[in-house]
Amino acid sequence: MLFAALRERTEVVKDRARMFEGLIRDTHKQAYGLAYRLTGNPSEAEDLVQESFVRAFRFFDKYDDRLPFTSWLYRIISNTHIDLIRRKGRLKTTSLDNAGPEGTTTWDVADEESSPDRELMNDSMAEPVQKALLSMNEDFRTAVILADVEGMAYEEVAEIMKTSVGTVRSRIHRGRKQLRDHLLKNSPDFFGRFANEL
Amino acid sequence: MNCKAVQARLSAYLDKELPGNEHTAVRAHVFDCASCREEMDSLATIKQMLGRCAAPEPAECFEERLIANVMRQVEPPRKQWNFQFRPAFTFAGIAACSMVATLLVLQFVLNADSAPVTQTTPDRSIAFDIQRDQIYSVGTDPMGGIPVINVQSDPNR
Repeated sequence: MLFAALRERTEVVKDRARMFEGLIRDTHKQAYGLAYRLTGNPSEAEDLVQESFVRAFRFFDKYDDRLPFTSWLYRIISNTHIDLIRRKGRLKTTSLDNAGPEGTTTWDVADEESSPDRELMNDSMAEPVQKALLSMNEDFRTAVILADVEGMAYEEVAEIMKTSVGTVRSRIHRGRKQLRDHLLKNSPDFFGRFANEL
Repeated sequence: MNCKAVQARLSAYLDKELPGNEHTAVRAHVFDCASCREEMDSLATIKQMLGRCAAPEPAECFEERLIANVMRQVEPPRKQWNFQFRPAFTFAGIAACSMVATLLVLQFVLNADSAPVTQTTPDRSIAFDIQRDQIYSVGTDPMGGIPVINVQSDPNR
């Protein structure tokens, strides 16, 4: 009887793993897309996706299957991203004295010219945009990416970032302005070309 | 609504996330105000730019590698015996082994002493009782368990 119970439990665990493997296959590309935009390079994006799926598996009991799995996964990815940055001690902080009006701040970002991933970045996302995204504060970047790249409504973004819709509205607005100012300052030709195309 | 209030709402206006009355007020203001319209256009450019960026594709081998790595991390860890050499453990092990060995030897010796010894006394007279022409068999009485000799006369004689 004990053996039967053990075998049954093993089967349940295996079924769960098989089902989760299917979810990984279905959603890993979307997860990678978001992770890449948040981290800005393939290697960190892969690490972020892996860590997020591990967390998703461990907390799978908390997933409400009435909602799409990707929304829940996106929340885990954005939280994991913040955690990983904190762990690495890379979370950028700035003094309010340096902040411009409306919280606009300019950041010194690493020059990506010498990076071997540059070609890939060119293929996947216009480099100036990715650079501009990486120049932003984490919260603003996450909000802007979820809204503008992933096309989510403010309420969804608020749910994922565990904050109010008002805060999301402010982060998206300030984030877009930061992006625009960064692009106008560093890649005015790119911005002008794109604006003319529209 | 003045320019400052309108400009603070431009992103939400573009995203259609404003309440109906505010949405109408912003639209009316932007229609008349060139600087606010310019601000709105630049933000709309950013929104469009981000929306048009192609999704970055992971490397081809990423899917299998990801699944293997995730599954390895989430599988319950198998119990492993980590034996470490420690003098205290070794001493305890040797002591336990020698105690067991002593007990076994003692038990063997005691059992050997107390084991019932079958006393046998040769009885030569029996040879005279069994004639050469008689068939006999030696065995143990199944009921009593004592040794018996069955003697039977040869029926041919």
